[in-house]
Amino acid sequence: MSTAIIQTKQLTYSFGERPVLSGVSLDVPAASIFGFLGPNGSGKTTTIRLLLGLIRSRENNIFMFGESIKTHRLFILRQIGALIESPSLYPHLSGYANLDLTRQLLQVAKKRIDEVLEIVQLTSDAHRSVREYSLGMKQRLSLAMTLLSDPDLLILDEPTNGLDPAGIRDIRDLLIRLNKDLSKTIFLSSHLLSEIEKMATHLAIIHQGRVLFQGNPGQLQQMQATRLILQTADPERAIALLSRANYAVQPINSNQILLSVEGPSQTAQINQLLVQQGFEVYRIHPQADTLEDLFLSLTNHTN
Amino acid sequence: MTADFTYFARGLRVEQLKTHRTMILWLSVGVPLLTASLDFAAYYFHGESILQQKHEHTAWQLFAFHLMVMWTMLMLPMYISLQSALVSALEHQANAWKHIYSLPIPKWSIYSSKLFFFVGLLLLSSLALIVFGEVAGWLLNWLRPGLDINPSTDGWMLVRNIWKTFLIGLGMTAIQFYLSFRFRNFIVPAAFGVFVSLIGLVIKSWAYSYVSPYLWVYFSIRDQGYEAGWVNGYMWAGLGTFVVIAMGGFLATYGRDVE
Repeated sequence: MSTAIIQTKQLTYSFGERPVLSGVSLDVPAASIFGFLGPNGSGKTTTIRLLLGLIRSRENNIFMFGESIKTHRLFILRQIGALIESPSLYPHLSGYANLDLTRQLLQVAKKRIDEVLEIVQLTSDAHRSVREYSLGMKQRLSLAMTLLSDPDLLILDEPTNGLDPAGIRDIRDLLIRLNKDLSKTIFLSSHLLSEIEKMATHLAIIHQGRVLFQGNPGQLQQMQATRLILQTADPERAIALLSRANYAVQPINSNQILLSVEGPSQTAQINQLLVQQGFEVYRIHPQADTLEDLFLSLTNHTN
Repeated sequence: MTADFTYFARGLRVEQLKTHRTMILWLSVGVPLLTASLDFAAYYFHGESILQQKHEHTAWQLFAFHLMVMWTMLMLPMYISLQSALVSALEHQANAWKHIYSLPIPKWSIYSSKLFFFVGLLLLSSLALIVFGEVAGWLLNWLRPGLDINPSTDGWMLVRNIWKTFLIGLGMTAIQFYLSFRFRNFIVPAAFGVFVSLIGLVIKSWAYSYVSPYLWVYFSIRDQGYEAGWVNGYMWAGLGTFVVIAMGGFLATYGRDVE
């Protein structure tokens, strides 16, 4: 799990005078689902375009499969299937014909078309014109295209964009299946936090071109200040006491108060303080943040 | 070397597959057919008045000459302008460049296979014009024997001249192709080609009009259409322009960001 399939070192990029990425360093482990989270315009697509060599970094700071994209572009791309933003499909051709175009360029056996159609469950619609496809079907066909060469790494930029809930679930299930059953490493960008939360084994949060966090979802939870809910017989006096002790505290209702703490040791200190002062503490428990709360708190903090 | 050729050959094949269910191939034979049909109609209905003056050339040579003037002055520049826009619009409309450039294929093969597929379309049109022109000549010979249009009086005239205009036309082909490859907007290459062609019609008698690569095909016919040679100076100019613009166009697109 420790081998980095993708590694960027202090990646910086500007469109003219406008900086888009500032010192983005990523380490994407093999066989992970790496969620690349960020609001629109945060630099996700630019990072992906740099990874694929569609735009070029001046420095030699992008490495995939241990090689630099500057010097080993074809070697790297042979091991990647990529879907960037909207599907790239020829609407006048059938789904099968679209796959066949890419298949011929990749020099893959023709039977592989049937296999990838089966994986994305489009076999029965393969010979219909893509013009007649729904957006979800187009996304699945694009995913099939990325799988044609059976790559080790999938780079997917917002693959659930514009899909309805059923379409989103289909793509999510498919990606989890590809990761679990076929050990594909999946680098997945999204602004849909709920989606990443359900899939990612690792994640990075990018905002205004800077990586604010990188690790696994558990580490993200730990990084944040935890909120405690405390239940006592006399919340007003408890608030006064804790405020004097420099804790951030606020009332919730007639017998509950909310406290911000920085770690488990502070929880014990608060409990000890209250008991020493004669308070009856009925209950202390953490109020766990969702990933979305944490994401918003991180990205808002930098605004 | 073999691997390089394989990339190129696969690229050509894929370009051809992309044109299924489009107007591209139909346009390649439709424009020569239209050209030959218009010349055929002009001679069928007004052949006597066209041929009434004494000429040093045979009726077939005059018929073929008029066919080629129509082709080089109007049809060919317009056709290349429109076709170039259509060929690249396939990629632009499908947002396909980012997909193609993220595949493990060399960048030069992407540009060159598309360019040479476009050259292939021009070759197809040129061959179609020869076939339709010959057929039109023999049809007139049969339907209007009084006109005395007999293609056997100069059996190679069309082949000789269309061969030359094909090679000369490669210059404007490379220019139009670069514009269509470079600009996402369909209007840019189409409008540029049509505009330059129309300007050419106006300035074709101007002393310095030879500087326009879009007029070389016409000058080749106007000045040397009856000559027996298979090679002329415009041909080298067209080929030279093709090589320079094709290589320059590739280098200009090589370093560009892919949208």
